[in-house]
Amino acid sequence: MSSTDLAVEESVESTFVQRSPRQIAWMRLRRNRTGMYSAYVVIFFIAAAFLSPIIIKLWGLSSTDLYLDGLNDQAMPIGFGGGISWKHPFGLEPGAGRDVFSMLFTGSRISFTVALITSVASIGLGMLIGIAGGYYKGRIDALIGRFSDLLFAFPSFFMIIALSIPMVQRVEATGIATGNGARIIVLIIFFVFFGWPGFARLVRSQALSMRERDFVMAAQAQGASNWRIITKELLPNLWPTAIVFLSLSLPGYLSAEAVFSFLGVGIQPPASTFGLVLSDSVKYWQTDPAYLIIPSAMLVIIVLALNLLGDAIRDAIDPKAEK
Amino acid sequence: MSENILELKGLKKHFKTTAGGFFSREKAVVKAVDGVDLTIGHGETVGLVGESGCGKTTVGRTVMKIYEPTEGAMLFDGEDITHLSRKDMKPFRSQMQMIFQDPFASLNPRHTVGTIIESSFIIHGVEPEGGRKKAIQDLLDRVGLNPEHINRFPHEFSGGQRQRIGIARALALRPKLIVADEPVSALDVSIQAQVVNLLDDLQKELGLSYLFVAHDLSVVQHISDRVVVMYLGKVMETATTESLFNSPRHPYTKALLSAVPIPDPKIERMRERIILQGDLPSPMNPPAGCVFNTRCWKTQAKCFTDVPQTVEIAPGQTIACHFPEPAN
Repeated sequence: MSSTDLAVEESVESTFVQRSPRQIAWMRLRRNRTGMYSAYVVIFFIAAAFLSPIIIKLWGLSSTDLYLDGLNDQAMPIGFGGGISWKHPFGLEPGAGRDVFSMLFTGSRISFTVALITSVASIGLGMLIGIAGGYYKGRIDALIGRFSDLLFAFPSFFMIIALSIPMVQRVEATGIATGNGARIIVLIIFFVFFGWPGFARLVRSQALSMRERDFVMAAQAQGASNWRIITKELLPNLWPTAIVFLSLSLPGYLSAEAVFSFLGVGIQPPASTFGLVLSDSVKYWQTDPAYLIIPSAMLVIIVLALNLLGDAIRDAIDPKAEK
Repeated sequence: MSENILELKGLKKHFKTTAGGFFSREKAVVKAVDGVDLTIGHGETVGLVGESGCGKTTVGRTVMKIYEPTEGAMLFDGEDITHLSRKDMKPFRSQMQMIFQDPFASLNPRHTVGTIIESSFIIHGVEPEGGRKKAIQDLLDRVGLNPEHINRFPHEFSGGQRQRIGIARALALRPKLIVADEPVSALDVSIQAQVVNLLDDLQKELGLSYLFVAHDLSVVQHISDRVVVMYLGKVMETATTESLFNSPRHPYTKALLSAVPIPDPKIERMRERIILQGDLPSPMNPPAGCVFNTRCWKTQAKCFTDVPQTVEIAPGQTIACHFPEPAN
């Protein structure tokens, strides 16, 4: 008998550990099976993208080599599913004869770089500016508001098309990067510049309502600094919005990069982003459907996993969610 | 150590509002608090009453320096804190704390009970004896909550329990003065009694002083040593609880007391109730003379021209009225 009593006491004692809200959220996320699987998928694709040079080399492939002996005399890949074989798991590119597996993983590195940097930067910037506007109100808020109005009203699409070539030249002139590197930098700058106002507005409205809540006043009465109020009282209530926004804007920027690459102002061949591969594959959808299906499926899986992961994190940090 | 823990001398808090848009130069001033004198002794509870919109909450928040006072002086334990900067104010913050009206809004929904209470220690860099966790659990125990609930979130508690968490947060740094801004008006009556008794017990144990802002007169009568009656940003009457409830001298106090129902149908039917006509005038444009002149039944010409001075009409009882009621 006494041993079971002891066990009960021990379990009570173990619940006595003080946990921060972050630790509790992490425990909840670990328990969410969908969330964890999506996390694995996302981590897999991101890791694959950034390790792609090694993986491709180990497979004995190259993203720029032309495997012309795999093509027939109409330059179409020979064999099932666009030439799927052990050597070329995703088949060959019709026309030039490059390996689709290495094209996609090398390309996804560029796509992910653009989408990740852009989303995180525009959400970070939007968060900062939105909180500043909502928390400090008054003149600062009015200035930010009118400036973001200006950006909203701006024909950003045409501006990117018109200015991308001179901008790329400027970046190349500074010597930071050349060719596609410079194009990536320009694309990110444009996306962030026009991307932050949407999120800043969302945050501003929330910060505006939250700063009047009693818990902010309680923190002021305790003697908390503005910085502490913003980071410890307001931010925890804004994370869910940021995470939902991130999981929506990541795929958004993945496809935005694809659109601009397709229009010729983004990344240029011989690089191969999702956008470039997809826009090329549309030409062959009847003769080589696998060339269209494989990159689309990959994009769908990535976007779906990102969204599910976003949902799981949002649920994990929501104290009112089911345990 | 000064005689009084808190002294307010002619405290004023005016809010500027811009009527119109971004480029408008037109300004309006809301005189939320317009010359309030108030003292709280060590270990004393002062009730601050008045109807909605009279500025009693603003007094509480100005005392906590959440609002910057427009005019007047605030002395905390003899030291002038009226225009202290945020940094200079910090040592005083640990000595005065606030309890809020709505326990559903005053606790950040994304913090656990532990982090809510711990924040006081973090902000002031206090390392209590036996560690923060133990201090938090002692506080929870002291306010009648289970110390094991340290990792729970506010939404897992009832209104009364949440208010206890708010009280524990206020007590964390062992303050001398607690500004309680309608601490029980959002709670059920049965819970109100528990919370009021808790505040009473804490006062006895820890020697706290309270500024108790409320509109429920029976609660105020129960907890207060002295009562201050406010109307439209001004103090109408100040008296000990006993003399205020037994022998109100200001017509407004009398009207306020007559609005309290008496739980005896016989007396209730017999007594004559004073029913005030009209609404509270706008604090943007208060009436000239006595601010109560729009609703008072005793007004004479003087009331519309001269502002009544605050006079001591009986020992410990001051009123601002030209024509006081007779003593009972």
